[in-house]
Amino acid sequence: MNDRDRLLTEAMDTYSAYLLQLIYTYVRDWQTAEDLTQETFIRYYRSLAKFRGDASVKTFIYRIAVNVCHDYLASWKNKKIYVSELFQKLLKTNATPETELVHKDEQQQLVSAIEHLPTKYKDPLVLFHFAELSLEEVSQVLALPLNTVKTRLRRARQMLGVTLIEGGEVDA
Amino acid sequence: MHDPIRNALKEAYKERVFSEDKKQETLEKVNNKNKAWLPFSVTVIVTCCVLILTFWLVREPITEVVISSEQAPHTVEDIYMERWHEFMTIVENERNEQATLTYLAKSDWLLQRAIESGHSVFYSAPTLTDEEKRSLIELLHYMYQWVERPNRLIDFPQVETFDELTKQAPQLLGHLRGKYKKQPILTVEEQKAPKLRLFYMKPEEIISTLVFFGIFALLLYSNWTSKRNYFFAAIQVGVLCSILLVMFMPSSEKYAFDETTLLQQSIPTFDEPTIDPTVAKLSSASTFGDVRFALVDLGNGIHGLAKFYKNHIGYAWSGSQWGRQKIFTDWVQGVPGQVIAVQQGHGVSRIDLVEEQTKRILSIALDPDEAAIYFIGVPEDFRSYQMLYYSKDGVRMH
Repeated sequence: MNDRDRLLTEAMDTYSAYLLQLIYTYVRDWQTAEDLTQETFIRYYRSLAKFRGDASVKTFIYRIAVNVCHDYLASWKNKKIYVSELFQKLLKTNATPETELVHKDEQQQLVSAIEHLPTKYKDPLVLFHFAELSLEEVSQVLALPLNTVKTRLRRARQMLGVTLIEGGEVDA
Repeated sequence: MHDPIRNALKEAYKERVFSEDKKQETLEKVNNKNKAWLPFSVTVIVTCCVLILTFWLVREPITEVVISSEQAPHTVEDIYMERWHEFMTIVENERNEQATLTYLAKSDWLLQRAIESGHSVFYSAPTLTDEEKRSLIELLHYMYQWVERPNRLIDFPQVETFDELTKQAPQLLGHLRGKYKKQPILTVEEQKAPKLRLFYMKPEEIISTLVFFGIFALLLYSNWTSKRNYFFAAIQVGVLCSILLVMFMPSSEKYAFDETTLLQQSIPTFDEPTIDPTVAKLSSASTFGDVRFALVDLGNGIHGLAKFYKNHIGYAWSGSQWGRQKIFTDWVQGVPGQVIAVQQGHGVSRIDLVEEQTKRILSIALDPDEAAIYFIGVPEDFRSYQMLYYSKDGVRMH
């Protein structure tokens, strides 16, 4: 096993579960999430030669993961699946997404709400709360100004109806 | 610290992990990236090949014509020596305008072709070495140049036989090359390029096409390795295939390199439904500088004249005229001059170009029975002129 293989194995052992779950919030399909996690590690492996260590491995790998998710969501394949699912839902007359949601408990509702957030709000939310990156790291991963990250994070929480005091940030 | 978002997500996804099998598969994939790329590359290449082959299968078949050398009426030795004697007449008699005009009116191209190929529909050629062939062809070229711009400082020997001239040609060329602009003499085989458009493109066209191809190949690669959008991939593959097709499809331009290609390329240009390609015959052909002409007997009493202009590749077809008449005229730009093509049995023995104001006459003699193509360089002071045709009996024809 060469150095790159070793680094990849280490990264998979450390981050694979987090990445899989984070990616799932975007794609809401475990099979796809597994494939995209694999794609993230493949891209990470190929980028190792270019990785200069300016950012931490964690930040670097999450940046790749977010890009992989964005690429997938923008892809033709995803749009095709989305249209197909939408069509199937319309055919079901006995249960609407709203009625299904009523039966879930409060925590499930929150998860579902996170999964359905628009991507631009979901990005900072999952990176900050779930991946446990700092605001500065989220700013680096998303290549956004710190203030924009803060604004989007606040807006995401508002959309979820969650009030938090975290890292000096106070939400009304 | 209580974070409801983190807790909710962790609780909801706690049983989900990236499996060991998937990790192993990932390791295998990164170590076999070339293999992953291979099926796609093969698909692209096979698609391109299929498209090119399909194009070749459906393209219009080339008109098949056969040029036979069995009935060549003259020998290269006779015609070459006739030409040499005409040349020596001009060398020995200064200011012989009529002889000069007559010499320059004829093209040496068919003679050069017969020497080069060793067999021709017009002339039967002796066995010559490659060096002798090249010397004799080059000598004809410089003789024509000398007649156009005589240099009296060059001494030409008295030569009586073709063999003698063949031996003396290299020495003569040594004198002529120094006095006249050296022009590479290319044989037909050297001029011929494969019939793919790529070989007929200008360097800047090839570079820009390759750059365009490279851009789309990169776009396709980047699309395939990231988003893998099949719709755009299909467009990109389509564009790449189109570029390959454009480069490797047969050239649409009609180039005439030798007697066979001259006839092959000329026949389809005569838009006449009664033409039978198997009957069509090349009656004569000439090259005057950058213009090449083919006089064709199309059968059923129809005749045609096709014109080919020289470009960076060769002589490309530029225009044709046809009909039941036996005399065709055309204008050559650049030189400039008047071309007169006469079909066998035309009956004209002399053509005069008469300047309408000064009444100055340029006259050339013709063989009244033979098919030929003549060129008359028109001087600048010939602003407006009339062409008069005379029969064997010296009677003016209409």
